[in-house]
Amino acid sequence: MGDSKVATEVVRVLTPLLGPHTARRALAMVCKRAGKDSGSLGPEDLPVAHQTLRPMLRTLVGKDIAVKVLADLGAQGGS
Amino acid sequence: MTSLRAITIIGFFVVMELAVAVETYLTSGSVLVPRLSEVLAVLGTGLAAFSLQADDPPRRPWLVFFLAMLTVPTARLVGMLELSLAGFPVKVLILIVSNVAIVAALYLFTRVLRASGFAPDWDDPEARGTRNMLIGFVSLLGLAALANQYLVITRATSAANLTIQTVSIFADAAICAAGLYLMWLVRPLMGGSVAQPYLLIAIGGGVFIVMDFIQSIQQVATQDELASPVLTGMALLGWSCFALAGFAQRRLLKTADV
Repeated sequence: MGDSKVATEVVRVLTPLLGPHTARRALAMVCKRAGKDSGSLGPEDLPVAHQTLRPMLRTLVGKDIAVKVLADLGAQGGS
Repeated sequence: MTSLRAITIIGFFVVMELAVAVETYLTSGSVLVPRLSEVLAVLGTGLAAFSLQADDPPRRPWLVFFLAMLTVPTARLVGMLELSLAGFPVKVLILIVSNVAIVAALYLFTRVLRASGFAPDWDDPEARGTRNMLIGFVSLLGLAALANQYLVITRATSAANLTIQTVSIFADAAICAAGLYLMWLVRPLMGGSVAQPYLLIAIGGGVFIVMDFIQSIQQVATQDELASPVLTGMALLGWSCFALAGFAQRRLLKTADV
């Protein structure tokens, strides 16, 4: 089973910043926290994605970029 | 959130190297352009540091890096005054502080990467091969630094000369080792814009360790005394890498603005 639309969006949004390898690792972290595989991740899991990624991104790149990335994820992953 | 384009980076290097070539041709020496590259390193790292918010974790290492860069032109100015403290030129003491600060900045960068959760774990079985390579390179680096130090001891012409070369050798070895570790941590992030500043910093550090080895053979105490155009060009490359790292970090932040 392939990635869900939300999973695909997570990877797509994170790849320009983190690169493809780490973007997929980040997706795996989100899936683990949501208790789902990448094929089952849905819009209802976006809050979990935000909770997982926010502190990591904030630590790595600072608040402004973290906010922008999560805003992109929220805007596109839920549509 | 975009990184600097390759053409921008290459163009920057080419312009700097051409500028020093022109200066050398016109004045039979190269003073202004190398000093300009140091000032650009201050500017780039300062832009990066002050673009981040005060409580952003990456700000501290960028701030320390900026201060390290700032000490270099400061040392040059102080050198003109020929001040000394307890028999040591103040310029030399400031350059020692600069070396220590760069090592501290690199350590803080690695700490940010590890704390983010995106960097590989040291014990990760998948990273064993590259980890062993890293250990091997760092070990060789340590041996090279010791060999270099032996050359310095046998050829030093003054206590100040010996001190600055010793500090420079081991600080640059530490910088290079930290740079290699930084690259190991950044490797999974390749292809992403966040990796670019770190790669540039690591490359800059690598350039200076090679220069140190060459300089110790030439018995040159500080980079003011560079006679070889190759060394001048390498110094330009190193400072340019540090400047571009700061500009890349700044670009990352600016292109994130909505």
